[in-house]
Amino acid sequence: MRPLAVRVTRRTVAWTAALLAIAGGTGVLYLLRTHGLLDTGPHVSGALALQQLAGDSAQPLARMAVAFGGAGLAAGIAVGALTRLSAEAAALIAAALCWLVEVAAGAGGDAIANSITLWPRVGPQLDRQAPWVAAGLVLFSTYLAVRGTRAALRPGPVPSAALRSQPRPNVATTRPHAPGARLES
Amino acid sequence: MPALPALALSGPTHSRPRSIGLRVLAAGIVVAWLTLGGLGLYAHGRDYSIYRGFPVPTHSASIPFGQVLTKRFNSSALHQERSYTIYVPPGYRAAVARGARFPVLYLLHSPRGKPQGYFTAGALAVRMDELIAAHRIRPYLVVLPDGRTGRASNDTEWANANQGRYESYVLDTVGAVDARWATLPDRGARVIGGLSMGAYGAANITLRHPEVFSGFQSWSGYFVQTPTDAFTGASRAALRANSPLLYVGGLKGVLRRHPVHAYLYQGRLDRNSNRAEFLRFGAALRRAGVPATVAFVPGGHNWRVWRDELPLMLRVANHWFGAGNGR
Repeated sequence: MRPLAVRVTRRTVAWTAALLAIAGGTGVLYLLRTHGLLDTGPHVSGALALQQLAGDSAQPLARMAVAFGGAGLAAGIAVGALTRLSAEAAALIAAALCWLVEVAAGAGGDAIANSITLWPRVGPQLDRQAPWVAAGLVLFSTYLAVRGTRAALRPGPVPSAALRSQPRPNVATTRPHAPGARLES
Repeated sequence: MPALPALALSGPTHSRPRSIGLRVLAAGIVVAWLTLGGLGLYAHGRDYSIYRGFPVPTHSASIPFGQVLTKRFNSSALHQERSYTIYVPPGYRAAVARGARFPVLYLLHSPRGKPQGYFTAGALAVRMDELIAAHRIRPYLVVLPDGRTGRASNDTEWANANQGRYESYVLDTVGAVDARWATLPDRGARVIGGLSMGAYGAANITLRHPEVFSGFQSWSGYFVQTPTDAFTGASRAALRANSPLLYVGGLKGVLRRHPVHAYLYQGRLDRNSNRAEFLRFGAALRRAGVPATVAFVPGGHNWRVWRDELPLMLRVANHWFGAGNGR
């Protein structure tokens, strides 16, 4: 068992990295926004809230998949490698984080672009597709990444030659006991 | 009898050495993604801050283009060396050599803005070049005083108030421009406009100094001053003296001697501007004898609206320059 401090540190690092990876999804989406090859699929409204004045805040699904699929993979690798949380729980938490980040970014983008206060812009974010689509992509990709990371880093079976070469462990074994034999407590 | 639980093997773990390579690969993927995402977020923020998300303004290579310069001068109103940004149309030097002189459009920025915003988010220089090349407007100068205070709040209201004498600073800028450039030093060749706080400033300064400017454009402005920001603690008399809606009715005589033009517009979805106040000011201007155009346009209180309306505003200023209001 690792010391508590080590576990807390690993979890903090893992979830900080996951949060930054998810936020980075928006950054990657911005870099991809003019990439013609990924101009495929229905446009997802509110994907780049700060681009609303320029008229390209809606982005095609393929770009969203690359940006937030990648974000979920990076988040899943970090969480899978540094924590023992189940893949299902990790994916749900990452998706919730993503949804919150997207809602906050959308409201902030609205407020900045229109020189208005933040709070009234939070409600309308629920009507935008981007937080839901991004959260769905992160849910799926984080789940896969956590499972894949654990499978890759799991200790493998011990080769028999290696076992033979090692001294026998000092283990207690049980033997079938005779009926009526006295059991020691 | 229930089966006894088998004791688990509890010796040392037998595993092949953990793959350092896989862990390094995993860390590398995460770090690479964080780096890429960070670069994207930085670019996103930077581009918004400069261009408001619009593409970088670019010229058609086939048209001549003007220059954008920043010049410094001493403002006696602010007791400081200050600066303005100026758009100089193509062919300016040759025309000046032939004895030509140019009208000037002054544009005032918002509290969060700066003069360069008109060129980056509004594509002002590109639009000027295009309109001049298409002979839609005559060549004229555009001057943008830098009204930033250097403090956290740049809310000067372009007025002589708590933040400094910014109304007088605008008049200083006019003097400095007339002294340095080949301008037509006549009120009929001076129009002032602005957006948001700059729109308020343009209306207030023109109506307080109609001997200097012959027209103003209000892009999403307001017309009644409140005891906030630069006017915190101001007297009722000071507020009234800086509320165009409240004093324009008393300017009929002055405006007969110095007629001015006005063009006011506001976004239909603008939550920062008061629709009723806007309409009342338009009506008050007309009653005072000012030929005012009042328009609602699609959009809110942002650069989408101001950028879309910019070419029209440049043509309106050009029209006024030819209207002979130079008395």
